[in-house]
Amino acid sequence: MVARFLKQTWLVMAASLAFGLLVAAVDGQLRDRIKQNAIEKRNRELRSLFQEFGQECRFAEQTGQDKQGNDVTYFTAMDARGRIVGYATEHVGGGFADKIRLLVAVDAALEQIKGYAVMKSNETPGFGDKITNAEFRDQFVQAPAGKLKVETRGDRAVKDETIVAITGATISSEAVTKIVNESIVIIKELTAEPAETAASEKAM
Amino acid sequence: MAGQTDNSTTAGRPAWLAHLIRGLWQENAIFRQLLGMCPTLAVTAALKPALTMGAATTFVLVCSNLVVSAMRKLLVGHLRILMFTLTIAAFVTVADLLLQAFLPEMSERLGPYVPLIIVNCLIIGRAEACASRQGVWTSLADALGMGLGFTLALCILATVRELLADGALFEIAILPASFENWNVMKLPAGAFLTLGILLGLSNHFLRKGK
Repeated sequence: MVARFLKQTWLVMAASLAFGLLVAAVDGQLRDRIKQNAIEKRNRELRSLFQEFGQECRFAEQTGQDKQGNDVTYFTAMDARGRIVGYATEHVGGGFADKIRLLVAVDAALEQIKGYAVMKSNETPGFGDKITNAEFRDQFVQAPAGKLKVETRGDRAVKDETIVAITGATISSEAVTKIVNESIVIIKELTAEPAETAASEKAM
Repeated sequence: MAGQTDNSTTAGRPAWLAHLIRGLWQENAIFRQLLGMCPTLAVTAALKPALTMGAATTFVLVCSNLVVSAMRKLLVGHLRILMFTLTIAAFVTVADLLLQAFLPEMSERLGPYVPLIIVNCLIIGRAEACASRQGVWTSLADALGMGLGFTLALCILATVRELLADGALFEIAILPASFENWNVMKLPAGAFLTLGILLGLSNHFLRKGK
């Protein structure tokens, strides 16, 4: 019985081992590069969100815990003189087609939003994917860091708590606004209680 | 079944060359066999992702055909599909990792469609119809022909859709600014429309040629 089983399946077992080794070897070779790509993208987006402070702007990565006890990574932006000019964090929420991951930034006083960058999104081409367009994103820049709400009509140039939805993509617009609102709450929680902030911090 | 080869066309040509040419048009995966419809509809809104998807699929097709062909004499009948899937899954994972490492933006843009190459019936179809029955060189030629044919068809669809949706090719503006973009071409409806029209045209010209 065992001999028959082995005779039939030895190739499957041998191939599984060989392909497992192949995938492990490729992953081992490329893992650092893939991680570096993610870090470079995040740093690029951080610089873009705090571009008014120029190339001298530095970012310190810190970890803390939100009120639910989840570990959260956030970034403190500092200008050339070392003054804190803002904070940013990555946050994920449900979109129309898939999860949306945003990098959200606020100023040091936690009063104004600096903007957001889309780190990952699979929203509908031509509609939901307009969350990456400046026309929609710019509404968040300098908007009050309070509770933003989505309207289907309005003036996008007015900087207030109202976000005008993308035509045909209200769910994506609401998803982005919800993620931004939640990110601000998290940043406020983390920066309000510096004593609870974990010691891990590294300059980038 | 879809993917069965027509031996009459090999007359006068070496088998590997016949296999190579056949995949480009006569047995084109998209226009003649309607295989791999998921990426065909999903990633052809623009030329860059279409070309990348075609290259990734060709890479997996070539690797899996070579491996399946090399071990064809060891395959046990009822376990062969398991072996094909195992082989394809391994090379799709490698392709996915390579894209993440060297083309990270394109990898993000293609999203779940790269891992979904595993269930592309073109690849398992060629493993069953050709690689498990033919030698390594014939299988390699078959994979290259089918892969290039698939890439070509994806690019034709993407050319039409990107041109009408954005007035551009490879994100470079081609049509004048006065051109009104056809937003529907970016959507699944545009993919179905374009595919339907191109299938109709390919059938028309094929019948005319007979």
